[in-house]
Amino acid sequence: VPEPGKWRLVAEGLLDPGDDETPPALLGARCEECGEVLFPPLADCPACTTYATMRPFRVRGSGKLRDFIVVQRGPSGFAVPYVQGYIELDDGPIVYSLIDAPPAEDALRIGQRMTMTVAPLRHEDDVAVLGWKFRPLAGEEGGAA
Amino acid sequence: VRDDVVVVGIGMLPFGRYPDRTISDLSRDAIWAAIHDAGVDPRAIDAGWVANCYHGFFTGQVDAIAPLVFRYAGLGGFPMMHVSGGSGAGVVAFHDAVLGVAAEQYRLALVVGVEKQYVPGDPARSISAIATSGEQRVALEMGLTWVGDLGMGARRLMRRYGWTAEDFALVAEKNRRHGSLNPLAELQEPISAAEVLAARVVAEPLTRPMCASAAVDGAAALLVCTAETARRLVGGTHPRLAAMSLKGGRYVRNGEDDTLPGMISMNDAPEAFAEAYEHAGVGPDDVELAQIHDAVAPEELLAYQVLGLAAPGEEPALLRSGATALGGRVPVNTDGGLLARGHAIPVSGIAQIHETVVQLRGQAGPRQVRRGGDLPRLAAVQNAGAQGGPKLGGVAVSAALLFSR
Repeated sequence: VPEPGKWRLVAEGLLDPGDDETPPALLGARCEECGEVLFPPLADCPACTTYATMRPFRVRGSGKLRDFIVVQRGPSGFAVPYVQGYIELDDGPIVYSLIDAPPAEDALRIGQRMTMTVAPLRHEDDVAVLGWKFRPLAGEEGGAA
Repeated sequence: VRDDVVVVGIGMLPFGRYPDRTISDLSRDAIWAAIHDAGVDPRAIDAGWVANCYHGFFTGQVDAIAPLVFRYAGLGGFPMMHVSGGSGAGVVAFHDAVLGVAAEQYRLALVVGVEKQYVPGDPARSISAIATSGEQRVALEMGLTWVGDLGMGARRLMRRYGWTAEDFALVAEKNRRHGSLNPLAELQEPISAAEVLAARVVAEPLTRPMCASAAVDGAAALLVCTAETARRLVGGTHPRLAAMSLKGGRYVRNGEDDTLPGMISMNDAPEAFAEAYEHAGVGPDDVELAQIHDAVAPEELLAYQVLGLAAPGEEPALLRSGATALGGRVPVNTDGGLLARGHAIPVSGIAQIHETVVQLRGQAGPRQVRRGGDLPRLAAVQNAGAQGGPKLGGVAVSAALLFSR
């Protein structure tokens, strides 16, 4: 994490960056009626269409790589090339994420285990915008070196 | 919707780059072209809708888009309404106008799409603008792009069906050939599949010619009324809206995603087309041409499946048979599609309807579709746009339109 004053979280209320003892987690929600787990969180359940049944739920930053793509063009502020992906989390939701891996086709494998980190996504002037990223779990076959 | 709503006037500027003109300059030309095409007294217009998405992003003029468009064309005295919604905005404006005249609340409705997306020297700013048609906090701000999202869908379908980059290149080659016959298309020069494959990679396996240009400006307009109003105002017969079905993406439960077609623009299209076919009393075999939303080439292949033109996995065979090219059984994207015409995002849906009307009237010149010696009788339009987040929402609107002569 960069020095104080030089960073901000990409969005409030979506991410617990964690500390030495607690791994980072996504701040999602779970429906007390049907059990659906959501990220990002909502108050009302879109799975069973019920009012105010979603409760805060820490979504673990572990899952499988569902899709990835190396993009050569991006929005303002993102250094290209970079790797975009979808992670199917062990807790259920599919989350969009930048992938912390070399921008090469053979650096990743669909279905491989992934783990979440908190890292700069881009920079606004000299302020780092921190968000979640996923990277291959260390020691995973086919993962990035 | 009642089945006697017709399009009596059309107008469109060639999609391209107009850095020295305002949106009002572009839209007034399209509006007056439609008025002159219809041959109506413009004072008969009693409602107007404009589709525009990014004028606020680029200029800070977020609101009052409708008066900017209609007042600057010298028009007034009718309610002026503005709709947004990404690539779906143009069809949403058309939908609203159709309901307005079908309900007999209005007699003659003007539908306009206008956008300026070309930013000289700063293509990343165009990408940032169009990314605002998706959710920001967990998508745009995180680096998600439409090409990334659609490209990941395409890669998933390559794994599922064995589609290849060459299939995508053949879609681009076909649509660029169609565009070379369309003076309104941004890209006029044809390109070979080999050249498409050799072009700069945007996101593997998508190369530049497999992706529609977002750095493009455009304007198009339609005049809509009931057949009865058309008889009184202008006479003649006009292309008729045979069915219109709009759907919105539903929440997909965790673990359920693989039951969907697989690209965000197409996930709700099967339901929309099933309803449209039922309302019109037709089936996929009756469709004689189609305009589909090919922001990236793989979407056209998937459209063959969701419109019912090909069985799942058989899309490349349909393409390679020539059936979807001009001269084939069911030509798709006869105006060049987004890949050749360009993708001025809220204008694209209106441009799709414009081309459909041109074809049903028999005014398409060298790209005219015929069955035997006759003009086509039934044409389809597929369109979709805006999303509420990669997980929480599919598209805001997924549209299936059927037009008949």
